[in-house]
Amino acid sequence: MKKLLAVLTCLAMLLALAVPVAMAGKSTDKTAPVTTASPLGGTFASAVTVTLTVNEPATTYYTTDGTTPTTGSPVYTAPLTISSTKTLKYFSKDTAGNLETVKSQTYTIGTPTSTHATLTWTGYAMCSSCHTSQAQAMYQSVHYQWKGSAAEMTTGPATQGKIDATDGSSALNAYCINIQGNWGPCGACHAGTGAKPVATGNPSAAQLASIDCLMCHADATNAPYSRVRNATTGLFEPAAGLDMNLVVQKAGQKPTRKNCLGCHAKAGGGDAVKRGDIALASGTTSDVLYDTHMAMGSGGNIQCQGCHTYTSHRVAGRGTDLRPEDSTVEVSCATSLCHSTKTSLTTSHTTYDTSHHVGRVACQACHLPTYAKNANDTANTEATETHRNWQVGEWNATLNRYEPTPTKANDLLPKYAFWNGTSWGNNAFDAAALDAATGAYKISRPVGAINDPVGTKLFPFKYKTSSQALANGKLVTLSTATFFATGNYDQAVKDGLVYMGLPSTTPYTTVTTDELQLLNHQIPPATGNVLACTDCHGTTTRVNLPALGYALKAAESVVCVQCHSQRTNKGWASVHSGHVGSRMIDCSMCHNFSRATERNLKIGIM
Amino acid sequence: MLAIFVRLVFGSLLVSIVLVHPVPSWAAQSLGYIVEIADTGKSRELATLIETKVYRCVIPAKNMWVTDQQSNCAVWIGKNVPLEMLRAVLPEAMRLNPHLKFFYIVGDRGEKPPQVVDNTLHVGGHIEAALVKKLNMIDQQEMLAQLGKAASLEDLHRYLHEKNKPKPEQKPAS
Repeated sequence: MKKLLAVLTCLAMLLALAVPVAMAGKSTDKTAPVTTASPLGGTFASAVTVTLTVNEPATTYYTTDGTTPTTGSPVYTAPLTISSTKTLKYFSKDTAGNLETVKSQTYTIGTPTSTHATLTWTGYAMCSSCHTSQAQAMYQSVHYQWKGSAAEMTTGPATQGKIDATDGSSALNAYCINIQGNWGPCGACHAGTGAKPVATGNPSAAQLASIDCLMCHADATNAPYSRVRNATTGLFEPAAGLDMNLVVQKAGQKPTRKNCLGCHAKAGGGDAVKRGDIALASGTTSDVLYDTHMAMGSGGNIQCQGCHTYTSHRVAGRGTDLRPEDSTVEVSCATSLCHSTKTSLTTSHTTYDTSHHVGRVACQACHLPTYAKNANDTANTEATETHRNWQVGEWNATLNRYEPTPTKANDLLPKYAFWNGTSWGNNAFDAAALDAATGAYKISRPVGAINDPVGTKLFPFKYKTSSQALANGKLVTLSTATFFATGNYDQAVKDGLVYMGLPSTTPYTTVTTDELQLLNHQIPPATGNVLACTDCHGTTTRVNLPALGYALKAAESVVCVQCHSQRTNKGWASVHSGHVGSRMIDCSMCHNFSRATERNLKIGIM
Repeated sequence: MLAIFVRLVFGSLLVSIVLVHPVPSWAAQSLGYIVEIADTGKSRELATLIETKVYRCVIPAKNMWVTDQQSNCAVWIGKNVPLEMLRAVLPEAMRLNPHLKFFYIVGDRGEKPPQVVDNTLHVGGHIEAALVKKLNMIDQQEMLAQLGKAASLEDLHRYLHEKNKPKPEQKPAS
């Protein structure tokens, strides 16, 4: 009897404990599960195996006969093989009972009934109606969303980008500061038909039709495509007079440099303004001294995706000043196709002294002596902007507005800094951070230091400053709309303060901001153009190596006598040749960093 | 004494001519009025035509917003640009660019442009600016008719001000 009582008591206690837990679980999880099909629907040459994955414990139900699935439909347990054209519909129900909205993917199996050669233009929707999976992939890309994973940012939320927002995800820069209030002209370079992108994991057919595939995939040579705003809808449409049937029949090719540069060269408001190493000339020049990789004629004539590889419309490569990354794939000079022998620390270059640089010095640091070069066969100067003054407006007659006054220059020496692949960035609403080294408030910085792990290298950067307002310890996202209309900096700042939730009477000061932007392009042929040792060593004109961490860890009278009596310093070349080249002594004997592991050097007093 | 009297009479005469009559083209030029033409389509043909009418004309260097006649479809009218100059230039501009559809008095939205803009007629402003300002399209025939019947510059300004009043916000496309 006692035993029975004990068992009943235990059961009662368990029940008492379980009920609140179960109820608590029920009350907290109100989020529907998210099911993803891979691959997404589209046209496939042969049978396709589709996997459904769900982001939490849940049961997935599906149909392939076009009917809407219910909890009475088949349960997904293993990948589905679809061998004829079918529409897969599916949804999941999680353990808390939350139901997902039914999703749908159509898999067209076999050769498409029409090819591009016979197409008739019916509007932007025609692209995504056939290339659905590509459109869905593109829709989620940074090229379309202007926002994405900020996994390589050491600051800010997990998702960041250009799109104006008050949640700290909206990037600032030293050009237009922020796109706040200026979507229209900014959006002219957006890979869509004019509307701001809507972030959704399950875009509708209409949303997919908002992608302008032709911006990147039109044949710029044989059937050029251009677009204009419809004055009534504000959306883009093909320019009048184009043979759009021909345009769409010729479309479908991979982007050429002209396609990419149509936007990327004009970033910041004009040719070469923002990217000191990219200009419209990069698409047309034959000047190999301007850019041996992209130049036509005796240059490499390499298209952008030759280096910026892509998968599912996600493109490799992120400038250090950009917040989102489209792809986790890194761009590299040394691939199986290009410069494949240039990774060895001992034999990649003609001498050991040069070769060992590849471990800690990026290729472009030595191979890009100057940037913002002037191509010798173009009308433009390809000068880049080095400073933007928001306090003084200059009139742009075409846009009937004031614009901040730029300072531009050609043939600039890069700044050099270590970069470990991550970046620091000041976004809208962030506390401003003063850089004591430059005396300016930081907009963006590559993150890295001499002691960071292998992979961290010295890279060349464009240095850009701007005069911007600072209030309450934050950089002000001034109202570009006000500034453009009136040229009145004070009013633009006040309107920006209100946007930031501050009274317009908040006192502000004007400060200098600065940012570093990675340089990768405009590499000339190596012969006769690569930096010599003396460009960096024994001088601080180009790069201040001691300031980057290469200084001696103590005075010569202290360092040298660790091993021998102090001798006459015969210069860096002789000292390094004797100590590192011959005796393989690690850097840490004389400096505050070590390369012992990566270069097999010896630590300790010899 | 006679000389002073003669000067006063001639001076008064000159002032009354300038005030009563529209500014003639030679005067427009001498007063520093200028026609700027965006370098698209038949801009050079238009410039030649305008110069035969004795107006000073420039085609500024291209920038990234000078693209084509369809996109550069706005006319920015400086507030001091004389009616006679508008009557001489705009019909030719519309004939050579049938896409011109926005006509706007600079400053009508409260902008404070540099003084030189008040004396400038800019043909080929960009549609992006027109959309930002929420301007309304004006049919070329209607604009031509209005140019003809406007009794004064103020009359034309009034017409353009009314035509360009922003329409109620429409739900943006998604």
